[in-house]
Amino acid sequence: MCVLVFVENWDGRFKKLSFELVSYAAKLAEMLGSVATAVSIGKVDDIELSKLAAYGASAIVSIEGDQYNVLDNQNYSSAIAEMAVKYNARVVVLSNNNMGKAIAPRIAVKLKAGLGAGVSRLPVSVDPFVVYKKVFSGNAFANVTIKSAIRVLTLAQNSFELIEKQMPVAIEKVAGKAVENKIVIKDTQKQTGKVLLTDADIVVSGGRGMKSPDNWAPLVELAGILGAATACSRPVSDEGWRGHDEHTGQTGKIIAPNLYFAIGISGATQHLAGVSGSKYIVAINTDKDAPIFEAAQYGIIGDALKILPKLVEAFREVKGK
Amino acid sequence: MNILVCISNVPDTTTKVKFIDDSKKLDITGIQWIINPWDELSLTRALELKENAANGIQKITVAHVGLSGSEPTIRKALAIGADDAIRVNADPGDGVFVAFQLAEVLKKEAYEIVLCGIESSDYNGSMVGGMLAEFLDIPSVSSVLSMNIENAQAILTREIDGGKEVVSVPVPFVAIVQKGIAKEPRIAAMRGIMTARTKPIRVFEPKGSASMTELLNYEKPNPRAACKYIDPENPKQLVELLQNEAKVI
Amino acid sequence: MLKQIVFSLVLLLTLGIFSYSAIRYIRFFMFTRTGFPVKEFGKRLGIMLKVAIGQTKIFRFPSVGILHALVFWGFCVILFGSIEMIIDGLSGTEHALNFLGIFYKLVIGSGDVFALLIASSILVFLTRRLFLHIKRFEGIEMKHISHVDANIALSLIFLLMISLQGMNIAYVQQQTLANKASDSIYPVSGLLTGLLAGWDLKQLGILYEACWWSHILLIFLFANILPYSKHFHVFMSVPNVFLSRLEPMGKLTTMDSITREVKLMLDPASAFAAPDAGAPIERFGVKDAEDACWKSYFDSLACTECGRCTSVCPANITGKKLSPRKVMMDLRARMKEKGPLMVKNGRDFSDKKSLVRDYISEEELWACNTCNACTMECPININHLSLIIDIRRYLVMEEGSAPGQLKAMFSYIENNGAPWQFSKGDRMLWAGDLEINNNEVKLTEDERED
Repeated sequence: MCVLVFVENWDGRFKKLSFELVSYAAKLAEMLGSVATAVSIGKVDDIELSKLAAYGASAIVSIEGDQYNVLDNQNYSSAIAEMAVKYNARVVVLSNNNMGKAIAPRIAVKLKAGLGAGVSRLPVSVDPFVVYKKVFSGNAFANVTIKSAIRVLTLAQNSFELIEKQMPVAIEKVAGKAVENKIVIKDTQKQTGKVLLTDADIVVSGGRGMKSPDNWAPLVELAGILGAATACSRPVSDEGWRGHDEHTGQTGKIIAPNLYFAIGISGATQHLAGVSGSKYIVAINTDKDAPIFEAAQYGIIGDALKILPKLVEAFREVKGK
Repeated sequence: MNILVCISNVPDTTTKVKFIDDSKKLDITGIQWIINPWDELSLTRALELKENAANGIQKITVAHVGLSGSEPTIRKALAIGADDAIRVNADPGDGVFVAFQLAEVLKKEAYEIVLCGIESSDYNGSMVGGMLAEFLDIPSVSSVLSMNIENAQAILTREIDGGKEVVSVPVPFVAIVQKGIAKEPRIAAMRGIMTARTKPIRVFEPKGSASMTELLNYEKPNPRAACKYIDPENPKQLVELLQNEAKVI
Repeated sequence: MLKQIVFSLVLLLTLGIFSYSAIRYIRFFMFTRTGFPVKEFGKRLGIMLKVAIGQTKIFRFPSVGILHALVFWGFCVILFGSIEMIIDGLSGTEHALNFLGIFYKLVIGSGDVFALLIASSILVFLTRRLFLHIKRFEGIEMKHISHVDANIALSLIFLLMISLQGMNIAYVQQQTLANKASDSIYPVSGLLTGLLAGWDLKQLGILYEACWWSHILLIFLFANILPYSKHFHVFMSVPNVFLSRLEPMGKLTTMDSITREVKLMLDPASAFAAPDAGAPIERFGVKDAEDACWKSYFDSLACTECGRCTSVCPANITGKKLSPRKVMMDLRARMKEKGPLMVKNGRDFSDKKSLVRDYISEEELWACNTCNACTMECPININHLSLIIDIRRYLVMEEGSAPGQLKAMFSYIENNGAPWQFSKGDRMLWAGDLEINNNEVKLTEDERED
């Protein structure tokens, strides 16, 4: 019996989020008196796979086959469900990212398992199995019991820390079932170069208080110095000042970086719903009554256009050292 | 082709949620109920597709699991432009229960495309769409940003980490949609509201299946610590705090 | 005798053509919507005397205003002379209304002065149109045909005045040479007799007849062109002012057909449960020309494309697509296109086009901020706004179509009781610690009466 954790790869490489998942699964396995088994689908070389063992994976299963080059929800969920049955998984852990949302529900139904989606901590208890999750778009939390024998959990991004726990490397290669892909890829557009918003530890975000798209340079500069991703509020992307892929908020991307700079953003509930998971929020706004200051840990009341250049200099000094 | 849009009845998104019964239940007094925003956008896209005769969409049906109290919300969907509606008469316990009930009814319906919002603004479960597809044993495509019909084939754009993928999928399938599927939601026109009164809502009784999860209680988020203000003339102080106190730099 | 017969035939022909035009327009009017009851005749007469006869709103553009006023008053005075010419033509008399004595001299004499004044004003107008760049005359709706139409009309009026003046000068000179008294005073023509020095009676007689016939034929021609020209306002403007909307400008009309619906919607639970009111309700608002109220169509026919409305429209001034003039012209043009089709195939006929979108775009309609500058400015009290609102009503109430921000606002009002995305529970936060008894505000006697 084990805790099965599905670890997604990107062009054969894992990300920080992958190791967070394994850390979580390993810790959960400890709680259950069990072990963590990692499952990877697609072409990943042994050196990369063995990294998973560093975070607590007792066994690493790599399902290979060209049929998995295309994400077909049915095929991926079948493969993982099969592994879950084969390795007698009590819990299946995935990330709550696009991949997780696509396949976790299908896996849950296949295994007749209850699904705890978007959890951000280890279960409150294992018997009964109670998880803690956000509800009402972050306005409240709920304790939910999962009554089924098998459970599927999806972990919110950047909510669990990395725990190094070196296990002996045990990789098993499995040939994937020959399945027909019903999904056909017509075109792929990938963003290159920029730090991915959903992966970034630090995000620098601008709102309408920036007055004009021409004022974005210091913001981009700050992001560059900090190695951060850039983001924006909804009015900014609606106006076309920044791309829609930068829009964070209830109707855009939900992110949870370690540090979120809200510059010239008022902090309407809809925007906060997208960033409330951030560990720290720094707000810069001219309006002392702006709701963003209720959510921020650090704030500067003043004109962002005047403050930003000074801030950039201050960070540049520190980072330069 | 027929499109089926699954809709969820949720409290208006500005509602300040309150809990009663020892925080076990949501206090529904004074709550304004609306169609889940993601589902509203799905319905809008379905209507946009139907308006173009070249797409060959005949009928748009909305499906919902809920008690009679959700009928105004279903009527709203009909007023916006859906042709008819299905309601499974049961309290929507958890995602699995809802998906199972919908699947039981949909097994007897004729449809080519099923649309589900990627989450509902109340429980943010992100599960009904995927589970429904699995119960019906049909393909699903998730994080869908756009859907078009070209040569009687469905072409969807889905979000992937760091980009987008354009895919085609054979009917019948479930599309689990993100915001962006339609630019802005449609509203119910006066004429729509008047015609909605005569559109049919077929009611079905639920079948078997118990929920797999049970909500024990709610908690309100802890009040945040007050914001620490930094002098605008001295931004260095912020850098120091972030480095030494918050330790995020 | 021959002259009488010819004249009668020409008059008959003119009246025949005019009747055809009139019937054509009446048929188009019958497709439009009723509404706009005409009451309060006393008040209307007062407005007509002030705005139409008094030309008060024309003077809002003072320098050209005075010139137009002179042309208008001149037309009114010369009308008297024209009526006399018709009587003369039919009965073979000369100056049949001469018996009116001093009144006659006053009117004909003024007419003589006005002929010069009008001719001069027309020259100014033509100069402006042909040689100056007047912003108000330009616009996306002002196609080449509009300019040609204007110039032809102005030229015809000029010719009318020349022929009138010519007629008068010839007459005065004739009387002088024959040592007879003139039937009236001719202040201007009397001074210009020098132009005809050396002409004998026979030549003067021919000139007089030529001018007489030119003048009356031009009148007949002009009268029949007017219904198809922007100058239809010669006939339509005074009635249009009489039919002015009497409500305060900022007041929008309520729609009886939806009062019931609105009452139901105040209680959302019952909004959908209520049975139908009975008879099928006709289309809300205006989608196409036949949906417009008859008064809006009347407005569009009276519109002379002067552009004063557009020149004061804040949306237009700041570069938006809206032009109130274009809205009126589009309605007229659309009815011109669809009217004959409906006459042939019935009111329900569809040519797959409509006033909204094919003629007037949504962008123009939503750019309007209902300030009423256009209706305030129009010298003949055209009410552009009621038409714009009627088309918007179609868009929102039949199609649910509106700019995104407005749609969002409708949703917020419906769900949160406020036009913004604030929580319903916060509705009374503005009251802070005010003490309000049972949420009732007690009115005084006076306040209650209002």
